[in-house]
Amino acid sequence: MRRFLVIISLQAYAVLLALYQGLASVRTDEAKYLLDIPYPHPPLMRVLMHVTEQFPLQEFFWRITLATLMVQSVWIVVSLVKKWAPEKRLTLCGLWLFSSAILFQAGSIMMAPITALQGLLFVWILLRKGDQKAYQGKAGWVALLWLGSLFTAYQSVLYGPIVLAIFIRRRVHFLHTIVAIGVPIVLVAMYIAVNPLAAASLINAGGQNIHMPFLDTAQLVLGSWLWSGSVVLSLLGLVGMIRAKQWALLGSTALVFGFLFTSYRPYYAVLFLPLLVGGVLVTPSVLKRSATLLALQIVVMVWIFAHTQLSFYPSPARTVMQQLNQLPHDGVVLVSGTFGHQWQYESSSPLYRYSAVLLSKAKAVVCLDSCPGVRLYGFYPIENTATEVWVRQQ
Amino acid sequence: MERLNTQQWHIYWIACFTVFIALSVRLFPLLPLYTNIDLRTQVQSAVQSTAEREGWLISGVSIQHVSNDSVEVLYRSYFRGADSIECYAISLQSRSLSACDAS
Repeated sequence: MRRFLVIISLQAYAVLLALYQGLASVRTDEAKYLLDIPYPHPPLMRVLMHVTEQFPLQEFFWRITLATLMVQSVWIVVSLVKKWAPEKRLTLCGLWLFSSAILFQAGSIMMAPITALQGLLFVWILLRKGDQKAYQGKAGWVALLWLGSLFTAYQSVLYGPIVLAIFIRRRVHFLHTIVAIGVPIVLVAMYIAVNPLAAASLINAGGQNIHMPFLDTAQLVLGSWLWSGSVVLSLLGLVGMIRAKQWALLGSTALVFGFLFTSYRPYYAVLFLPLLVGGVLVTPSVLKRSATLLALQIVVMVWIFAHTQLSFYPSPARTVMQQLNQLPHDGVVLVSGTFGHQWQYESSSPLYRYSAVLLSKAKAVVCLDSCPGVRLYGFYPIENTATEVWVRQQ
Repeated sequence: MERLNTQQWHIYWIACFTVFIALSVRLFPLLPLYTNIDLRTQVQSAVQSTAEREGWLISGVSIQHVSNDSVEVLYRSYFRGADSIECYAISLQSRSLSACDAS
């Protein structure tokens, strides 16, 4: 009964996180995955999300599903510390649940939290104790998980050292290990080659920090690491893996740091989370004053939450498209200026970039930038919209 | 489950092989993009200028086949609803657009 109540309470927390993420409407990257727009990531999760496109509440379905997975995965952490004192066990769970990465990323429809979950599974497999022989016989499933995680998001490759350590620990033949780890990487490279857009997007992402001063980048990356575990878990996790000389965790952490240096995005912070928990798991002594640490973690999380700008209003894409979707006539929607995929997600008609020659096909024009010539083609502006919008006269 | 456990490596290799075959079939018609730098530049420029002219979002363009004088693309309009998918051949010389079945 007590466990059931804990599960329900965790679920309530997950739903709150999902609702919190939903306040700001769908973001451009989320729309990309929900609509299965084929870049930059491989298709595994995107295709699953696309299957649900006809659900009226597709966005909330995925927010709640992903928030649930992130929050309830605390049970995976618990399963590794069954023999710990209850206070320490509770602290570790609290460190996971009250980390900023969970608070701010659990309900987002992004690949990074899913990759972090896959990373947690790898950490769990690495640190599980038990009959070595029984585990040795399950290396094929680990290889399959590795293949699946790489075809979910490229960033899974950052957990490669953990996967390598799993194979070594299970005494899988060296050649078999190299092939089992290498073949999925080759397949992902082939996937990039058949999708030139994904390749261009990757090259673009890889070079985005080149012109940023080193100190600025370092500040962002270190901030990301501290933010990820609400400072307390970040420090404990890193100290733990260094003290235990856990080379697989250290290797993956170094790769995540390196990756952020070249391709920083705030949402990659969650990639640290499973590694930090792993660091605490391998050195339980870092939780010496566990009650104080948990209290500190909660205080830092609340402080971060209090200093985060919250968005309570639907995006312009949502408010404008809700009006345009009600128009009785057919036609495409033209958008001028720079816009994200959320405009496509909110629209029930095809979207094209604005060009005066396409006005004959259009039922409406959204002017995020200037729309030369729109007035001459029988369009009239509508009032009280978040941006300039013109609609075809019937 | 025990039986599945004994087949796990077979399942893994079958999964890898299936993905390999699926990707190879798609990769083969695109090989000229990776073997001929001039052609790659021409294709990039043709696709970009066509997308600009037609109002296409570049994320909806998927290159299907490349030859020395044309590139075949699918254009998909992503939105909430049944996406429309159209196939076009873009001439690399004139940059003109024709429907796939017409070319």
